This record gives sequence, C-alpha cells and structure tokens, in this order.
Amino acid sequence: MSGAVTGSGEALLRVEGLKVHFPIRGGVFGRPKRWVHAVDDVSLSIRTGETVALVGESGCGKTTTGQAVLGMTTPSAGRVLFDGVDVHAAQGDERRMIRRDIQIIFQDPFASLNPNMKVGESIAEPLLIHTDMSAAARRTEAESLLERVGLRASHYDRLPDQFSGGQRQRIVIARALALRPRLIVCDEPVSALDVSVRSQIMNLLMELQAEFGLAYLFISHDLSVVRHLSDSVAVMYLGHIVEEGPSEAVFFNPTHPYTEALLSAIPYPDPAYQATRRRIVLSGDLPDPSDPPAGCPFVSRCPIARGDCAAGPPALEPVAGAEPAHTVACFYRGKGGAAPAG
Amino acid sequence: MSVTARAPTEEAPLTVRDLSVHIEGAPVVDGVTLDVRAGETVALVGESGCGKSMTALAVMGLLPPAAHVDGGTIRINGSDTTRQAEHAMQRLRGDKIAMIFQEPVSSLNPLMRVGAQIVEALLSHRRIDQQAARRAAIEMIDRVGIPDPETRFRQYPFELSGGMCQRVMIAIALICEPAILIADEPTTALDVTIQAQILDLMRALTDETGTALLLITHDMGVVADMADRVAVMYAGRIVETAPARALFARQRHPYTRLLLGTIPKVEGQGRTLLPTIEGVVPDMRELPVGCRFHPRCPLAGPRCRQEAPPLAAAPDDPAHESACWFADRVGEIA
Repeated sequence: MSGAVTGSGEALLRVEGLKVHFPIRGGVFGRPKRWVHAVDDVSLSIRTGETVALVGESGCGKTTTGQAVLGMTTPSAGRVLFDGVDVHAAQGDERRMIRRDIQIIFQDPFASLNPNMKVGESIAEPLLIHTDMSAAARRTEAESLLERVGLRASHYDRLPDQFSGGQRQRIVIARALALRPRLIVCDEPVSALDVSVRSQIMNLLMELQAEFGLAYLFISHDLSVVRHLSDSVAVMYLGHIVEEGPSEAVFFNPTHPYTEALLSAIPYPDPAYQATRRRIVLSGDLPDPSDPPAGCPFVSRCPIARGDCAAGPPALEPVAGAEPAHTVACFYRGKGGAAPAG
Repeated sequence: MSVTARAPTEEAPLTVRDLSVHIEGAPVVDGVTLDVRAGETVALVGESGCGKSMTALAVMGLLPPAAHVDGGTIRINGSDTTRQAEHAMQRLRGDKIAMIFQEPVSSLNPLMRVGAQIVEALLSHRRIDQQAARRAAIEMIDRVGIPDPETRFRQYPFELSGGMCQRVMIAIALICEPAILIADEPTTALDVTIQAQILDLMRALTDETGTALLLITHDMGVVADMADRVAVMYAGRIVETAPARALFARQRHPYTRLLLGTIPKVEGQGRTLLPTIEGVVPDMRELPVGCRFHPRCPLAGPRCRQEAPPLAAAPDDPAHESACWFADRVGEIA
C-alpha cells in the first residue's frame, strides 16, 4: 500500500487502495466478459492548501481517480475519505457537506456552461441549491465572484457565447468557488486554452488557493503546467501510480523509467538546449487496459525491462537516498547501489 | 539541416507573397509573405485566430466558403495557384503538396481500410497498376514505423491508436513524394510520448526526401524541436520572422517576447506566478488602428497607435525581421 500518510489527521482528502474496474459486457445475457482496470490500487492524500497533481497520458486513470474523489464513479475496492467521511457511503448532512466542499473545474469551458443560462445565474445556482440566501443576496455574491475572477459585475446578465474561452474558464472557476469549497478537482483546467490565456488562469488558480486556503487535486497531462502549480506529483501509468513525491523531487530526480521518458519527451522552448538534451523516445503505444501486461504495467514499453519484471507488479517504495515521501514502483530503480542505466 | 544545400537561385517549392484573406470583411490573413525551401522546416506560430491555419488552408486551396483570397500570390513549384482553376489545384493536392491535420482519427475515412486510403492517394495521381500501388502502400506503412504493415494494410482506422492513425495520415501525405508538406498542429491531439515519436518520424522523412515542411503550431517547444525558421503571427499578420535559434535567443517583437515568457517550463521554478500578456486578442472585425498589438504592448507609444509598422530586418541580421517601431528596445521587456 502506498501513500502511507504520516500524521494522517491533517490530510483533508485520503484515497486508500482505490480500484475502479469497468466491465466490458458481451454475450447473450450481457455478462461482463472482461474488466478494464481503469484505476488499480491508487492511494494518495491532500492537505488543506496543498496542490497534488495526477499526471499521465490518455487512459492512465487520472480522470477516473478524480471522478471517484467526487463520488461520480463507484470504486470496486478501496475508500475515499474527505475530512474523515467516506465519500461513497455518506448520507444526509454528511453527503450535503461533501457536495458543498468538493467542487470541480473541467477542461472544456465551452461544454461546461449552460449556453442558455446567464453566466451570473450559473454562478449563483449552487447557492440556490445549497443555501437559503435570498435572490438578491445570491446575485450580489455572484457579482462579487465575477469581479474576484477578473470579470465585471455587469457581465452577470450575459450568455456564455459572449465570452472567450479564457473568460468562460474564469466563470467556471467562479461557479466552483460559490460554495466556498475546501477541495477543487481541476481536470485539465488549462489544456483547452491558448498559451497567453493559460498563464493568466494558472496565476488565478494560485492566487485563489492562497486566498481561500483551497486544496487542489490537479489532473493534467502537461508536466510543465504541473511543475508550476503543484506541491507534490503522482505519475500514473495504466491505472497505477508509478512514482510520487514532492514536485521538486520528482522533476529533478525522476526515478521511474516512465517518468524519465515523459519528462524527456517534452520539447523545451529553446532550440539550442533542445538539440543537446538526452531524449528517450518510447516505442509502441499504451497497452489495452482490459488486457494489461502481467507484472509491471510498464514492462511492454520499458527501456530497462528484464525478464523478471513480468513476475508481478512492483510496489511503491521509498527511493533510496531521497526524502521518504519520494516513492517509486520499479524493481530496478530507486534501490540505491547498482541500478541499471537506461 | 540542408537549408542552404540548394543553389540560392532555385525558387523555393512554396512562396507566398503578400497574401490576404478576408472572411465577411475581416482581414484574417493580412499581407503574409513566406517561403519554405526544399528540405527546410518553417514553423508558423501563434494563438487561436491569429490566421495561421487560414494561411495554410489558402495555400492548399481549401478555404471555407466564407473566406476569400483578395490579394497576393501563392506559388507552388513555380506556378501561381491563386490564378488557377479548382481542377488544376486538385491535381496538385496530394501530389505536389499535401497536408496533415490535428485530428488523425477524424481525418481518415472510418469505413475504408487504411491500406485502401493510401492506395487511393497514390492512384489519383500516378498511373500504376493496383498491385504496384499496394506494394508501394505497404512499403510506406513500414517507412512510417508501423509494425506488421501487411496486417495493418487491411485494418480500419478504429483498430489503430491515435498515434498510429497520425502515422497513416503521414503515409497518405507522403506517398506521392510531395515537394511541400503542411502539418497543422500534427501532434496537438497526441500524448507527449507519442508526440515525440511523430516529430522524430516527420524529421526523418523530410530530411530523407527534402520535402519542404510548413509546420503550424501553437507550441513553442515543438517549434524549438523542429523548425529551421519561425514566423510568428498575431491578428492576421506576421509580426516577426527569423531563423529559429536567433528568434529564441533574442526577440525583436514584444508579442514574441511576452509569449515566450508566459510558457511554464518543466525545468523552471515551481509555485511562482507566471508572466502574462495584458488584455485579449483583438476582435478581427474591430482591429486597433496602427500596430495591432499596441493595446497590449508595454512599449507602445503615440506612433504605434497611428501607423502600422512594416516588417523590417534587424540591422545586424538581415534574416531576422520584425514589425515593431521599437524593435531595438524589445529586450527591455522583463
């Protein structure tokens, strides 16, 4: 089991041994023929005011993990605890508390706003559902949220199609803030935005975090964005966390061969430097998640794989000589001593 | 790179001169001049709506119905295609000039086997028999790095991953050995490890064949990795153009400088605020007078609000051009 949180009392969110398996149905009675192991034994924890990033490529299970945190998908095994309350078992007041305290920001600001609803009403709607504020108070609150995210109070009565992508993402952020949540799941919040707009929204997210003491579960495929925003990082591959630790540790001392390849694959915006970098180009594609390789999930693409890597999945263990929070799931890396080179 | 491998007198396979495209009165491409020489990769960069894709579509003769070329020339292998009939352009497309798009999966015909799509591209321009075309297609599948080409030849696009589909698109584009390849955000929809594979493949194939590559992208990392020369577009115009290393080393337009500053870097400092560019891209129907970047520019002065600056060469580097009245002061921007 990974993510053995020291002083677990302070964790706002704890994900313990989470598994999410989706059935592929077939045959006459629609019985599950196979299972897609979307998330396989993922553990992590987030403290108040902290940003934990989940990074990985399409199909690695990062979004499904985020959905399980939000209670949008049911785990096959494991638990998600928010402030000590099991997100998937909560009833009544506890359930309402969770619905208020965990919010989400999606990737596509065009698809996540109702095109026929005034943007101010979209922002005020959570207040209508979860509070007994008067209509006038809700409007005042929505207007002040619009201003807080860098728009104008007078934008309240406009429809989404009058805004650019970056402005819509600001509106989505304002809506997520309306109930003063404690945790926001950010699923690729800047991936659909232009470069110059992306930096504006990243800065806004960091400012709001400091102001409201927010915790972020930040889901992204973009390591350079993650590098800028996160305190700690979990790298996912095929449903497993293969490496995790403080952001500095993972970025400056990448230990898992996949993390290394992922970092080396990002082209650096400087041709002179880019020409001199050691790059690891992985061969092949991600394996079919309904038919994962036996043993280490990365074995089929790993440049240092050996025969015994197929024996069983490696556990997340502390990287030798690094800080204890830096863990890696590899039979050969992070052991100290004679680790094979790439 | 083989930038200067050919005699300088030989005309570049693609030359665009003063190209302008309007959509409902909005000048979405305004006076774009661009050469892509044999064996060279030129990156056209900018944010959404800057006109980079419209420039590419104009070159391909594939502009949407609302868009019209209303000035300038596009010469492909020496002949001006803005004056040619559609059937002549059809003969060129896929033969002398080819294009690959951002979404490989939706760019392929889902009901047709991938091999047949490559064969079709070849047979529409070459008089060869089916068997020879089939052999050429299988060889091409192999060259774009798809394992087991005979099997893949018979498969449908849904049986292939996104990265494989982009390899098939590249195979279709290169089967007739075009002089010019236009790649519009070819790796934007792909994961970063697959992007690295596709960029390597494009580099290897264009080096091998001497194909002129016009790469349209918003990603400065991809530009740094691939381009010999760069042209930066803003609001329909090229604002700066230079050899890639010169452009990254020193910017002579404030937009380029600010744009590079806003990029989060994986090897940079964590948990710090990023530089931003004030304001938003202008509405193409209500463009600012003078320099189109002046409302967002920290260097803007009275002249910038009245007169649009022309592209002018740097005093010490004739290949480095920018359209800024204060090009020499761009380095002052933090």
